[in-house]
Amino acid sequence: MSQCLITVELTGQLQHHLQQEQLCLECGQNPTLAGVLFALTTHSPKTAEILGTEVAPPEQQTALPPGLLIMRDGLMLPLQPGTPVSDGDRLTLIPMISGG
Amino acid sequence: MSQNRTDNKTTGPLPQLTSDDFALREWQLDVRGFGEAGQQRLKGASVLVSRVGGLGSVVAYELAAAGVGRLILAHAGNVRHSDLNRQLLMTHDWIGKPRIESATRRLKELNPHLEIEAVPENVSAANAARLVEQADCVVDAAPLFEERLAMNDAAEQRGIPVVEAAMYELEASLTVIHPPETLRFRDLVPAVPPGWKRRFPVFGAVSGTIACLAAMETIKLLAGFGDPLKNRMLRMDLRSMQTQVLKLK
Repeated sequence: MSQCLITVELTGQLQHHLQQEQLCLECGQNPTLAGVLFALTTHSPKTAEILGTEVAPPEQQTALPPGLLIMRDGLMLPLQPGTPVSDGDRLTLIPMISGG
Repeated sequence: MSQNRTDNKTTGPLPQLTSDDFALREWQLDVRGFGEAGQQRLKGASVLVSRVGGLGSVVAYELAAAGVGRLILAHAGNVRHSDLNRQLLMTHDWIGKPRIESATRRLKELNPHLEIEAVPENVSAANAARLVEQADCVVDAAPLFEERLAMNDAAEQRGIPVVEAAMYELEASLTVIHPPETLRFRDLVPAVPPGWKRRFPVFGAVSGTIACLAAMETIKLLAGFGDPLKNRMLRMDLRSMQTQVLKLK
């Protein structure tokens, strides 16, 4: 079977670092949010630092980084590693900010 | 606790407006849905502003101008040179002196009728309950997630709405948290994001932009008109001038 392709729209510090508005990531055959995060942080380890996490394969992820909003079709997804995503999904990653 | 309630129900008679109130607020009394009753609600309200830095200083200034009766301002430390690109209640002659005194002085110059409780502390788990319980509404303009979590926890326990405003570089966000009607702040930020850095890039024009919008959300909540950003989040990118409103629930 072929890899599922997930498009992630980058915002804030993620976009600022990668100098890209979106990425197309290969996320395995039964992808989850943990798989998307793994693909992203593998593509750019700096994104792991921005999100305060480590590059870890999906099976080693017990939680997703706190303060990361993930939107799909205009709705917020549950921030759980096992939340399923589908081939062709378009996700928006929004790191929460706290500057005052 | 003041008489004003953000659910637009009052627990007692609203304060009367004086001739001075009418003269000072003449132009906003004509706003549709606001009027004299809205002004009375603002006058009877207490608002906690957590930090009066780049964001909170402008929020406090706008609320003072609009005629909110009482502000509780929480901010520790002394004015530094590096504050002055954005913290508009701080002045050069006050460098080295307490920020909260500079803020109080400047707000009183604008609105001498304003009652201010000046707290020379930042919000923490230790003082959040004490500060929040005095307010009808909280404006969260703190630079640290620890403060935001402590304040939201305290506000949630007391059923007090929080206007959550934040910025980073040329990005800004705004939402209203008021569980159970809305998501909890911890639904968005369950714990302190380890990647967040204390020092963030900021123009005062960015923090001031989102501050004005936060002040307007506060006025809407207190006066009971308009459609506050409940279960929605405004995001702004001032680099590209793109805005979007996310549906959170």
